[in-house]
Amino acid sequence: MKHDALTEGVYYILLSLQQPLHGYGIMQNVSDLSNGRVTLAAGTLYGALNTLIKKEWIVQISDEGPKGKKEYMITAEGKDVLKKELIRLTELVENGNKIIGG
Amino acid sequence: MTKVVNKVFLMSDYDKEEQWLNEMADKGFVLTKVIYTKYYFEETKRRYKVRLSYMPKKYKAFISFLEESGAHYIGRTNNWGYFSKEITQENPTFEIYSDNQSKLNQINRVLKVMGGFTVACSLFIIAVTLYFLITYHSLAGKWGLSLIPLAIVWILYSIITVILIYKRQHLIKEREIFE
Repeated sequence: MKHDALTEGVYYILLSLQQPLHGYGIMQNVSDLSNGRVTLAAGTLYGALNTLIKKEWIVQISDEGPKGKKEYMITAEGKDVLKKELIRLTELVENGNKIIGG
Repeated sequence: MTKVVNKVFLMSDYDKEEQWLNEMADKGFVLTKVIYTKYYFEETKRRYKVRLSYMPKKYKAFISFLEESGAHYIGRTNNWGYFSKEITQENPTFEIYSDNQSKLNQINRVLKVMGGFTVACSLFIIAVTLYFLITYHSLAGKWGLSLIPLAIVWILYSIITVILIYKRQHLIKEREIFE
């Protein structure tokens, strides 16, 4: 399978969903993980979550009534994508360090 | 104090509309209701940021998702959703879309509808013109005149669609280097 680069947002969403989280929890976690550098706005996150569900990289695991907060969690396929992305990112960083790094 | 302002914005000028609503908010008038071109404001001492979003298909799920993140849903007109959020020191800003791709997805949703209208209007004008030409062998007279308002609507739709396509191209260009 050809593997394209993930966006920063998708990468951090998948990292956050190693544990079940609802939308606002994901937004806070992504901001914390990146020390406030990456902020996901709610509409952007909404679209990304729907795309990831369609790709079956994450699933929605709870929906308690119409006002209940929906929680999301990574799937085995999502974990696989994340691992491959980590290998790709490591390659980028290693090559960068080798050529211009200290 | 409630303030009502009548103002017309094209579908393609949603960014100008948003800017105006935020200028009003900065002056202490926060948007509380929109009915087509009628904007209702309430005077406030608090600071608010107002954002627009062209709603996705399942707009109720979208609204509750945004409400969960602390945004307040004001209302919906022409499928544009209006949201506000109080600005504090901890939350100094409010955005609905934070990346290029989601802004592009939004403009694609608007274009789908406006482009559809433009094509439908074009086909209707062609059909009416052909009907007049075949039945009356001319476009003169009061029947032919009915084409004028149709043509004006068509021109308006086309202008909006062209502006949207232009804005879309701009977003795509920005994405070529940065993701």
